[in-house]
Amino acid sequence: MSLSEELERYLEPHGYRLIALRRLAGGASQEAWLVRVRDGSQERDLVLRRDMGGALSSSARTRGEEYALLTAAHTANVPVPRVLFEPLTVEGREAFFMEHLEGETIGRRLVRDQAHAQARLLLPAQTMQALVRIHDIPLRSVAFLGTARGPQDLIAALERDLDACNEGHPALELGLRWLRLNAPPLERAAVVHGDYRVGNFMVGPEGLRGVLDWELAHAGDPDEDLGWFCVRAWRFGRDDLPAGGITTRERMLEAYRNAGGHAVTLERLRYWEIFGNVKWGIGALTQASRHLRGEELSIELAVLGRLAAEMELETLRLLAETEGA
Amino acid sequence: MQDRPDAVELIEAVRHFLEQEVLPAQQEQRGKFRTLIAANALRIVVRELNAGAAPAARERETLRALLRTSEGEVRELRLELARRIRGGAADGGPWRRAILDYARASVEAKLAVANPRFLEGGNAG
Repeated sequence: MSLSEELERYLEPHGYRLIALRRLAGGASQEAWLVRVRDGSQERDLVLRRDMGGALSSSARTRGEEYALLTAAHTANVPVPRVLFEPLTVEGREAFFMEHLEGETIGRRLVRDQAHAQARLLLPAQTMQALVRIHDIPLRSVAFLGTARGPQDLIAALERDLDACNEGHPALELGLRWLRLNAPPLERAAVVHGDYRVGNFMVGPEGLRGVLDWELAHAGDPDEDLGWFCVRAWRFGRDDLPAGGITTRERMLEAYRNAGGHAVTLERLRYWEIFGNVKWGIGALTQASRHLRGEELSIELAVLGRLAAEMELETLRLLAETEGA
Repeated sequence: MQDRPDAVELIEAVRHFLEQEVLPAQQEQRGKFRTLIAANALRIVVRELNAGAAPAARERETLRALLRTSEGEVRELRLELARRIRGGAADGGPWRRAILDYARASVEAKLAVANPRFLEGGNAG
């Protein structure tokens, strides 16, 4: 049975007739489809998210877990796409439907285009408020995330991912070693989104419409999300605004505090920004290795093997800044 | 010796085809995006071919000096250096300075091929 036939059968009892199916640019461990359906006399779009073969890293969530996270986030008043129906299995892979949010997600456009100037003013406060609410989600409501892991555990997982690529990367090793030697203790355990950044926000003229891509969520130190937000790759060229190409680190931390979050020092933020650059560097290599091993042949994955050097350079730059100070 | 077009000229011809003929024919965003990535991958290959074998030979000599060995290729030497850094051998002292300098030069050489604009402080991503 083809994908469209399976979906047709699934949707029919829900009162929807399948009109068209179109693949969207997906994430690393999942694919996304835009599903056009007829609902009585009206047509509407749904999004289908489905697991892919292989995974981005040892910690990627399944679609069933992502469904549960979106549900918990909605309960916590975090703007997210609403999940629909129950999780399902399509062609043997876990999947779920969610509503389709309109708007812009492309980071390069959001940080540069005049059309998004108003949204850029609103996003720092909105994204930090949503982040505080994510960090306040009770861990017991998403128990599948497991016990909160501190930096040492995360570094060990990154080392395993890097070892699986079977290539020597001295710059990333220097970053990993520095992270090992300077790891802060785990002071508070929270739901960590894991990929909280410009590019994973659905944005309209009124600002944040939805927090997307929960596939890297885990239980850990909430400061990890703040450091990741500042990783150079997610500034899309706006290096004058280190926090996501939309604000400064200082104003980002102030917005997080104003929304009810805990106080985070710049030094602590720096630790997690270095962590983020190392993590994305290894993530890029891991994705490229999926292509190289033939798990998923893709030009997008293949070139990431070469772009990991960008994160290596930024890691070395941040280490030099930190050690020089 | 092959006739012209040489390797670089052939790749440039394919890139031209991608950008001028394949790209405009793409109906959807995803197809356009992937076509641009493919064309960019060919730019990387052209820069690598134009750089020749010298950068890898330089890196090999630097690595051999750092590891005090007279043999081994870049791939295995990088793995050995990575192993030693993880073990703490570059935590401090004069060796750390030398390793940091090597790492910087190696990464810059990779980016000169993969994304020279990033080295200039820009971001093509």
